[in-house]
Amino acid sequence: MEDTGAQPEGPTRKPFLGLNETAARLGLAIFFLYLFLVGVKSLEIGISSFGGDFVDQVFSNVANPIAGLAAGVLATVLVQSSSVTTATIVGLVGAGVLPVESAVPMVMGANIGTTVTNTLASLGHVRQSAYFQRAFSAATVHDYFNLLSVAILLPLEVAFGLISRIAIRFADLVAGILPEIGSGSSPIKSAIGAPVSWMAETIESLGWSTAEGAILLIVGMGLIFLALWMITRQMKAVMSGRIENAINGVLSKGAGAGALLAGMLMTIAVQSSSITTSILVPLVAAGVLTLRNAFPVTLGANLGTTATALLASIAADSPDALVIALAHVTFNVLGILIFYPWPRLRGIPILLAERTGEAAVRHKSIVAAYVIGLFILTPIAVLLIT
Amino acid sequence: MFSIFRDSDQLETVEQQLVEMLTNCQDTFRLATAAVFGEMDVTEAGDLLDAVDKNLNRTERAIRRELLVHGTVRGTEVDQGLMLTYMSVAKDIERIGDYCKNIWNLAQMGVNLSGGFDNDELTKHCERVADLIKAALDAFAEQDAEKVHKLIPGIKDDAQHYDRHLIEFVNSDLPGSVAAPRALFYRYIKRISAHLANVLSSVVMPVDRLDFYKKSKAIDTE
Repeated sequence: MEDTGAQPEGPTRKPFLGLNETAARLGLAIFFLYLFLVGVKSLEIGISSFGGDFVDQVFSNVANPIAGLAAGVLATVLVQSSSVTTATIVGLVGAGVLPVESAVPMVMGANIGTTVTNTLASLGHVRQSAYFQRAFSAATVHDYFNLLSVAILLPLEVAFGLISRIAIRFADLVAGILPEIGSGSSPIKSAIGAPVSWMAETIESLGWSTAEGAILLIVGMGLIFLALWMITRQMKAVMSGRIENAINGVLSKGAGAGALLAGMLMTIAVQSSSITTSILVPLVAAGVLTLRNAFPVTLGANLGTTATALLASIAADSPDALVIALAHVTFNVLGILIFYPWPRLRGIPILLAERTGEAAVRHKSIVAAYVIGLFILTPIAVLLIT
Repeated sequence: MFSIFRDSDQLETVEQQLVEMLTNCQDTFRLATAAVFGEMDVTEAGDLLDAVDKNLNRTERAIRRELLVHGTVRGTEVDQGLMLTYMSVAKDIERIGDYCKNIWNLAQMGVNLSGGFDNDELTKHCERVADLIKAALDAFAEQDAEKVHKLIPGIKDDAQHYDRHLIEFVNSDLPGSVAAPRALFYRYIKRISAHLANVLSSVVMPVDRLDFYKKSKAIDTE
């Protein structure tokens, strides 16, 4: 073959984001991360100021682990973000309102609730049966993994405190290495606490002391919502190119630890597992990504989303906040260790999702029953009964 | 550290892959014509051509996946027209590879077009198509609308010329072993030229008019 000479380069195209815009968006993301931590702190102080009766009421409502699980599912479905739910749970634990043992089922519920987003995303493919079958399977494999993990780990947690014990060990380890975490005296905590103290003083100076707790709680929740939404927005814009590369890597190299790592890093980067898993749905629907190859990315997303609770624990004074954040990590790591390394066990959520996809195509009513039943009616019924 | 956050544009990668595919087409055409004109061992040319053609097909599939990922990740930010255009361009280039393979198949069947009564004319057409692939590659890579407007009318003239030859051979009294391969050869180079025109039309035509070049409807002349 003759030498064809130097290959001409393709048309040159400007990247979506220039360096300046990237730097500006990163700056905004850091600013909103700070606001997020201020929000968690505000929520923590706001709740603390409600007093013992409120604490008893909250605790009595979720003392039953099944009720805690249902509350976690429902709260996450309502806010469409497990990050908001887990950050709030960290705030509640940090404020001493919620004991770690009661918070663990809620965190598990948040894991289940967050899958509603990609299940809803799969409905966009309903027009074409084969596409929809694959899309619904891709969405529900996340549900099944979480449901199966909860089915195994929740009884172990209730009976033996498995997850909380491991989390406490890890928290002790972290406190040994980074003693300022959980001590309430680090410069980061001072920087986070300052605006909250200023808000509390301002509220008092305005003579609204009786409403201080409620105002701080509302401001805290608002900041958590706004900050997480803005962080996700900025980071998705900044990281889209990397996400594309990571997904293309998964498509060319297939499943495995690399795919799990890619899912985890993507989710940590954009602070939203829903974004990662919702990207997978159309790719599986189109048939370019198999369910088996999408599965580890989903597991990585589950693990990556725990970063939010870990970040939130930075803002809290109580060491228990770190414990519940680590409990979230522990739950997801144990779930992965149970289901992923063993091909037979790995096949269970995949098989269930495939069967659900097939059934959903045959009877579309199953889809509505599944979504409303799993994510809304069951948790409400459980809460009402318990 | 900051480079982790540097944005990359997958469409740029796709554009480079399309250029690489066109470069592959230069090779497949050269190998196919070398085989059918007896300038190269048919098996050797076939092996080389097969390897390049497989690369063409692989790249086409990769482009489809990458465009799907791009659209999925970027959502409403993406230039959907460009994505559809590149899907179409990849298909056209892949088809060029297929027609080159068809030319090689003639050689595989024992056809040798060299040394015949029309040797000079056939050689001239081969050179013309080879030059056209190179010109199309350059015009596409540079997204040079001016070059495109110059090239496409020439390709249309060529197509008419090849058609005349094709009809001539289909209706000729020459033995089938002489007329049939020539008719097929003209058909194949006509299709190669037509697909090149489609590729070039992507530089100047709107998505709905891809492959239907009309200067007055081109984006840059409207």
